[in-house]
Parts: sequence; structure tokens; C-alpha cells
Amino acid sequence: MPDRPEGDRRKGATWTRIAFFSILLLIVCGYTILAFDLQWSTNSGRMGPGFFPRIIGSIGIMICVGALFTSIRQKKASEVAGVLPADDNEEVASPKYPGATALAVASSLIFVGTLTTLGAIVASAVFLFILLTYLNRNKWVMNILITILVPVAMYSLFSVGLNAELPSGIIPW
Amino acid sequence: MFEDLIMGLTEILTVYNILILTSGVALGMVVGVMPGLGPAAGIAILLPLTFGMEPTSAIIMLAAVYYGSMYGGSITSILINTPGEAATVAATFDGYPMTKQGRAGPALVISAVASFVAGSIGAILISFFAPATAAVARTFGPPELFLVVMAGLLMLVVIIGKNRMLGVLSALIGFGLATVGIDVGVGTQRFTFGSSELINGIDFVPVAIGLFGIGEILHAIWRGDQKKTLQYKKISFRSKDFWPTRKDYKDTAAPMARGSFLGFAVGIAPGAGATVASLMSYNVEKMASKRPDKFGKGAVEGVAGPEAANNAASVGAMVPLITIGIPGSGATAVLLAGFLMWGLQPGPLLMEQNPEFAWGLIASMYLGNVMLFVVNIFMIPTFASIARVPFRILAPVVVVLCTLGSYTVHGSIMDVGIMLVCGLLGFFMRRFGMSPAALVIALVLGPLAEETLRQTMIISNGDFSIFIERSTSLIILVMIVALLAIPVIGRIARSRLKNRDKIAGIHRNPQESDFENEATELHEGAGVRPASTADDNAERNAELRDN
Repeated sequence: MPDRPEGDRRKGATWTRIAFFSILLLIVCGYTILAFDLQWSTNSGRMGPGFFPRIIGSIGIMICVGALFTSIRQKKASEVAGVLPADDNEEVASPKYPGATALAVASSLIFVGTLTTLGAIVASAVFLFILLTYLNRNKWVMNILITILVPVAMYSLFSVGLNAELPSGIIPW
Repeated sequence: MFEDLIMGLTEILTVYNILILTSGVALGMVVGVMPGLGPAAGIAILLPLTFGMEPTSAIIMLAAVYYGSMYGGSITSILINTPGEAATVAATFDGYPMTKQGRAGPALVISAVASFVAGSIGAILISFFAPATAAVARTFGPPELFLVVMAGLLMLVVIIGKNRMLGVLSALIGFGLATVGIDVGVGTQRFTFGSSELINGIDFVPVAIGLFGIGEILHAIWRGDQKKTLQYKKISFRSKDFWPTRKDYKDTAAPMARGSFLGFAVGIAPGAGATVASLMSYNVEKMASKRPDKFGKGAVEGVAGPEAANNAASVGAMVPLITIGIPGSGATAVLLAGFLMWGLQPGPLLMEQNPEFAWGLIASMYLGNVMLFVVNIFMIPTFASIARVPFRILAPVVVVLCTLGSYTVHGSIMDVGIMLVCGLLGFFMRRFGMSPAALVIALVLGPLAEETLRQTMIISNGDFSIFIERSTSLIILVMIVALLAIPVIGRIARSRLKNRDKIAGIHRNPQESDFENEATELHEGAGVRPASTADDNAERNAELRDN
């Protein structure tokens, strides 16, 4: 089911863009503040550890401010004339699935959060079960088969086949 | 050169390496036919699987995945009008109309033959060009290397940037991430926040897996690829309609040759890549044809030229990677990460210090192409059925592979966290027109840029005029200035054209997308076409073709 009608997608697209560039601006500002704590040049006059980061941060802030300003201006223009920024045309042109995306992100966070405690096999199985139940609805047999077989196959591939270390967690091997 | 090539062949001609090469090309084909997974994502996801291998075998496998995906991508382009990966979009223009006319078999076989011819010509050309480029690059000092890094990044931003400023911002984020860890100049810790795991910097592999693997999967879920069903026409190589006619081969010989040389030349230029090469080739073939009106309606030349170009470009892209250590695309940046992981520093000295490895890789391209051709022709129906695996099942499995793969890099949960954060970043970058490829390349090249600039400043006692005093660096500087002038000249030319049209009373559609922007969006790793139905893509592909 498409999560929102076109009008809401239109509003959401510009708001998400503004939020994204605001967060990015905050991060780049934090980076730049830390960069200015680092030396621009060493006592012997050579390039210091802050030389590159200060340049990167300063230019980054300028571009982020520009992108944010453009997003806000486009939002206002779209409110007045109903014209969308070019990048958002695709976003509102067809139905999008933020709910499914949010579930994928949330289940991935659970997966990563429980990887070391539950172990690779169990955490993978839990993740697969959650996401498949939502994405591949009403295909219980197939979902359960994938939930069991894929983690075991992956564990065997990495741990046995490639001799790479994976957390065993609650399973003692 | 022939002695070196024979040495390379001897190096790879072991049962183990041939098995590795075969697995690489087959996996590459699978990556190629999966809509939503580009070569950069494929190589990044498969990188951890090569940890237990010898360096030569591992790189041979990853390179095989890279050019194998170029073969595979065209299968879905031709059968369902959905490019498996960006560089094969041109195959939809005439490949899909051929399928609608009941000529899917000939289109697929011609595509495979063109890929084989181009891959082989590319392998021969790289055998000559790589040593020659390495010889030139050996004369480079730190100032020239710094400028080459900058030129590579600028080219990427200028040529493929949908929004150039956001392309620069993407590269700056990559440079910023590259500054995390110990500063090699004075040994100061930068942006580590007291974490011992960040002292050695941010590992490239989880970042690449996150940006290209998780980012692409999340973007595809957001687009609703899990809701879409793909309609395939069944094909069998036992059917007599499967094989092209003699006329088809005759008509496509010249486009294949032109596409091969054009693709290789475009591939060498950092940033241009296989997508631009294939679209350029399509336009060249249309101009060269006596019947340009046939194009877009199932002209077999329109399949052969672009298919040859994208394969030759993928080989050409190896030249700057091997000889200067500069990746020109997201996929070659991930390959570079593979090189570095095994302690191999690509650059002018690679061919001198590790000839077995460098020539082994080049020799593997000859062998890999033969294997791909055989695998491709006889397994087209099999690969077509692999592409039928629904995205709603594929997506969770790929996320598990990415997560476990990231963990195995250093056995660290921190790497998995970085991968997930980068996955989210990659998702939003795709949504808002930023370039994950530019970020990844900047992350790989950041330390090299900083080191070479530091060395340059030591040589010149802090005087920046060193860049214009040395003749080679001056030439590179002039090239950079020319590169920066391209968009400005383009803008002036477009506005003059618009004014002329206005005076002449010609109306242009304001929504009409220009070639450059479309190529950008489609560029490998940065924005692979969604796995939508044939009809969804038909209109968009027609618009791109006509431009």
C-alpha cells in the first residue's frame, strides 16, 4: 500500500530535504569547530594536522548553507506556485514507501544491536523473519525456510569456508 | 610486453585461479542481472568473501565481478527494459524493441558477442597502455600526484554531478572521513573522540558496503521495488530464433569496433565511466547509420555499439587505477580498496615492483572474457531466471550478507555500526542528488592528497608557486582549468542556443532532461535504475535516447 497521497508526498519531500541538510550542516559545523582546535601549521612552519580539516570544514559549511537555503527557497516557491524542485519530481511522481524503509532501518538496528549478544545465526534469523514477514507477506513456508537456511549458510560460508570470525552468541559453536 | 603478459598468464593458469575466475564472472553476471545492484555494490558486498584468498586470486575475482556485471546488466535491459545496472541503459533503446519483435535471442547474443569483442580489444589495449601510462606516471613527483588526485575528483564531479555543488559536498564528506585517525605529519589524533578503534582511521570497506549495498537496498525499498513483479519472455538457446542472422553479424561488425575503441578511450578518463561511454556510442552509431530512423525501433547496431563501449570502458577504467592509483568510478574505488587491503599500492611502481600481480590481472582479463562469452551464451536463460528472484526476498538476504561481511573485516561491531550509518547516509544521498561515488573516491584518495600536498610544501618550503614552476604540473593545472571551464562554456552555449530558439520561435520543453544529467543519475554505483516494470521505464528510456 502506498503510504501517502501525492499532496503529502509533495510536502514531505521538501521537509525531508530541509531536515537532511540541517543535520548535515550541524555535523559539518561540529567537525569544523574541532578542526579549528587543531594546528594550521607546525612550529617549523609545515602543514599542521588542522590544515586539511579546516579547509574541508569551511567549504563544507558554505555548501551546506547554500543547499539548505536553496531547499527553503524551493519550499516557499512550491507553496506559492506549486512548482517542485527538480530533484523532488521523482519523489512525488510515484508512490513511495517510507513505512517499509523505516521498518528496514529499525530491524537493521535491532540486528546490529543484538549481533554480538545473540550471535550471527540467531540475530540474522530474527532480522530475516521480521523483514520477510512484512515484505513477503503471507508466504509463511518460504519465509521460515529462508529464515533458517540463509543464516546457517552465511555462517558456514564465513566461519567454515572463509575462516572468518563471527560472533557465536547464545549458540555455543 | 609479451614476455610480461606470458608471465602473467603463467601466474594465473592454475586450477584454483581458473575456478576463482569462473566464480567471479558468474557472480558478476548475477550482480549484473539483479536490478538494484550495481557493480560497486556487488564488489563491496563480495569483498569480505575474498579475505581468505591470495592477493592475486582475490583481485582477479573482484575484477571479474566488475566486468562480469557489465555482461549481465544487459540481459534485463533487453528482456524487460530494466537495466540491471546503469551502464547498460543504452541496451534498452533497441534491445527491448527487438524483444517485442520476437528477436530477444539475437539481441542477447549480439550483446554477448559485442561484450566479448570489446573486452578482448580492451585487454589488448590495456597491455600497451598500462606500461606506457606507468612510464609517464613514474616521472610524477608529489605536486603532480596531488594535482592528478584533484583532477580525478574534479572530473568526477564535473562530468557526473547531477548537482555539482552537492557532488563537491559529497567529496568533502569523503575527505572529512579520511581525516579521522592519526595525522601522519605530526602524529596528532584527529576526530577519534578517545576511541582506540578510530585511531587507525575509518576503514574503507564498511563505508563502501554501507553506501553502495545498504544505501541502494534502502532506496529500492523506499521506491517500492518489493511491490513490483517482473514479466519475462521465456527464451531458449535451442530455439532456432535464438541465434542472429549473418546479416546481423555483418551490420554489427563496425559498431562493435567503434564502440570498443570509443569505450576504452572514455573509460581511461577518470569520472566518465561506462555509462557515458555507452550513451556516447549510441549517439555515434545513430549518426553513422544510413538509416538513423531505425534506431529506437529495434536496430541491432544500437545494441552492439553501446554494449561494446560499456565493456571496453570498464577495462579502460583499469588503466588509471593500476598505473596512477586513481579510481575513476565507485566500482574502481572499491577495487582500489581491495588492492590496499592486501598491501598493494596501485600506482606507477606497481608494474615494476609487483609485475606478477599487475600482469596477472591483465592476463586474467583475456581469460575472463573468453569464460564470460561461453557462460553468457549458454546460460542466458539461467541468468534470466535468476533475475526473477523477487526483490522482497533478495533485500533482507543482501542486508544480512552486508552486515556479516562488515563484521568479518576486523571482527569489530564498530565497523558494522559505521556500515549502517553509511547505509542511511547513502540512502539520503541518493534521494537528494548527492554522489556516493564521489564520497567513496574522496575517502580513498584523501590520505594520498594530504600526503602529497604535505610533501609538495616541504619541497617548496611552503611556496604554492611550485605548481606552475614544474612543467608537468603546469600541464595538469591547465587541464584542471579547462575541466572547470567545461560547465561554464556549456552553460553559455545552452543560453545562446535558447536565445536563438527564442528569436526563431522554437519551443523547447522545459522538463526535457539533458544528456549530461541523465548520464549522471545513471552513473554506476551512484544511482542504478529501479527494478520497475517494462512500461514504467519505456517512456524515460525513450526520452534519454532521443536526447
